[in-house]
Amino acid sequence: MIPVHRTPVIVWKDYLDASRSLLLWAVIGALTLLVAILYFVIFWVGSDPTALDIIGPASALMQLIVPLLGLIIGYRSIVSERKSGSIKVLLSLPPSRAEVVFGKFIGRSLVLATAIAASFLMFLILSIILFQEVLLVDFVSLAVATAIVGFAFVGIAVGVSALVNTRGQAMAGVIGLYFVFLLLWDLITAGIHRVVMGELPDGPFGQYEAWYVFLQWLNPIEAFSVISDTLLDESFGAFTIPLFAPQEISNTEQIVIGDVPWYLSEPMAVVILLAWAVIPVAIGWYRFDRVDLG
Amino acid sequence: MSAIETRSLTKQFGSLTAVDCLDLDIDRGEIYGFLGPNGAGKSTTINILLDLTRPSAGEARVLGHDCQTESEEIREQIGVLPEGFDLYGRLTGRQHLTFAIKAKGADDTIDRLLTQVGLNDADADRTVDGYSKGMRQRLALGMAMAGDPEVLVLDEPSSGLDPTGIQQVQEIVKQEAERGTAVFFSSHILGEVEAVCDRVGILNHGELVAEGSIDELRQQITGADKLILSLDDVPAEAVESVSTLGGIAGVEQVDSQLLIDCFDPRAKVRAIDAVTSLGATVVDIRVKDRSLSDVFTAMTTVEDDSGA
Repeated sequence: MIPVHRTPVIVWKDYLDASRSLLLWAVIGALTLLVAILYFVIFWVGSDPTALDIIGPASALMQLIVPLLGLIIGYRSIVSERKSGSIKVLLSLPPSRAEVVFGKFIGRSLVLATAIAASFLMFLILSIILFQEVLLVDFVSLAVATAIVGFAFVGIAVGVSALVNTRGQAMAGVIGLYFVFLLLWDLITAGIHRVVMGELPDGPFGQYEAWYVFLQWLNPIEAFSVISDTLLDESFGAFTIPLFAPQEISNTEQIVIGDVPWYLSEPMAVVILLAWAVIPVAIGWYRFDRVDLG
Repeated sequence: MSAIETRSLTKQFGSLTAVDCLDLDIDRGEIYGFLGPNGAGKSTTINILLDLTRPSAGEARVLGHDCQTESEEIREQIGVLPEGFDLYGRLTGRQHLTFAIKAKGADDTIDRLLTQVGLNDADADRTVDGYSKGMRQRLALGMAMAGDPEVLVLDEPSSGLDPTGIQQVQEIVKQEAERGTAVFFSSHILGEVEAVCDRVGILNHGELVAEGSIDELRQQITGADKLILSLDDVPAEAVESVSTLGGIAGVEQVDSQLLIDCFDPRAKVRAIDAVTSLGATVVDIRVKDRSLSDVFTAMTTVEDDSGA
């Protein structure tokens, strides 16, 4: 059994430390500003816009920015303590390496949750000011979905940070993964489809084998769009621009050939995101626990 | 039960042997000086004690706990001032101490720790970014002392400290030892170790080359002054005649020089008398006189020669 009782101390320290990073607040400020700009653009440009019109673009914006923000918040978390030497102080105190890795994951997730809460507060305030409407349920749903995808990316970044030896490797790792999720996933899964089925998939607006749709869902960005579509009861599609994969990823009735299997139900998207949060952290911990830190 | 115990402890980094079959026994309440030049393997040894590094062979125990399998139990009971550490620049001194106290599950008051290491309230409320090297060192020492540890491991504790700071660290070390804390004091500066330690081990190339109390080491050393006599011509019977004199440990001839190990200071004059009485003319006299620090240097450089 891995002891966990010192994890809260690590979380406390890490949240305090990370939340005082100026760079971090600059990024969060930029995110909130984007939200505001989005609002004003839709308010001034849209024809007779309502508060609901903001939800789709907001979801798309969050899809693009929050994964990036999660990666930025997490990628230095462990490797920079190794490089600076503060890990020696940290690990000469009682906490285990497991508590350090999981504590960092939780601490950084809380930082991201704070940032998301701040930007959604901005949504709410602007919604009240500009549209005199409070779409509390929609906003809270989207905020929760956003937070879950954010945790997945924090987990990926903390995992990478525990796995590598230098900050450069950590940065290369998370940037690489971001592009894999955003661009390459489509091509890789199309390649798999070509190998298995002997032909490329239908393109963005066709019909697909269930397992191939599931491969799309495994991409955390796509999994997020499944969740946000479900919560908002409307299909906005993923922000990714697929060449081969389905555009309306959550619309399984339409896009899947034959019956929709159990594993293409919406709760699965949540499971996938949670797995993306936990598995990279566990892999990172496994390696970090065995490395010489002297 | 020893405070720190290692048996045949060995650590290899590729082909480099950083720690070579090290046996240490440090008692509770003892101040043990771990002396050696930079790169001798001191920090590697400490890293193994903390389970930051895993040994290639042998074992290490602290307070009876195995360093690899029971590291958390160990770290609950010890305080460490690591070498080449960094702190969290965005956190204040007070937050650092709070963190150390919480992590150890201790009930210290921050004020007591601050007083002990000589930081004032204004310092404690500033972020560590604005701290000097010496203040960081003090703060880290305060973190190490949280929870009233049974063993204090200090790796180069005076780096970055001014003479007053060094003296304060030495005072703290003595006070802690009086309360029964074992102190493992690692340093490459002999003077510091000499000032506080009950017992000293000298490490070179990962091997313990000498161990004993300061007095024991000094005795070994005063016997080892080297007298170097340059003669115009070395008489055939000079080596034999000098080596039979009292207080001489050994004589060696290198070209026209006699290298004479004297463990009695008065033997030097006797040696000079002996060679002149054999008809030789002394051209030059040099003495490699050995303070404790020279012995330290000798022990750590002789090894270098043999290794080369």
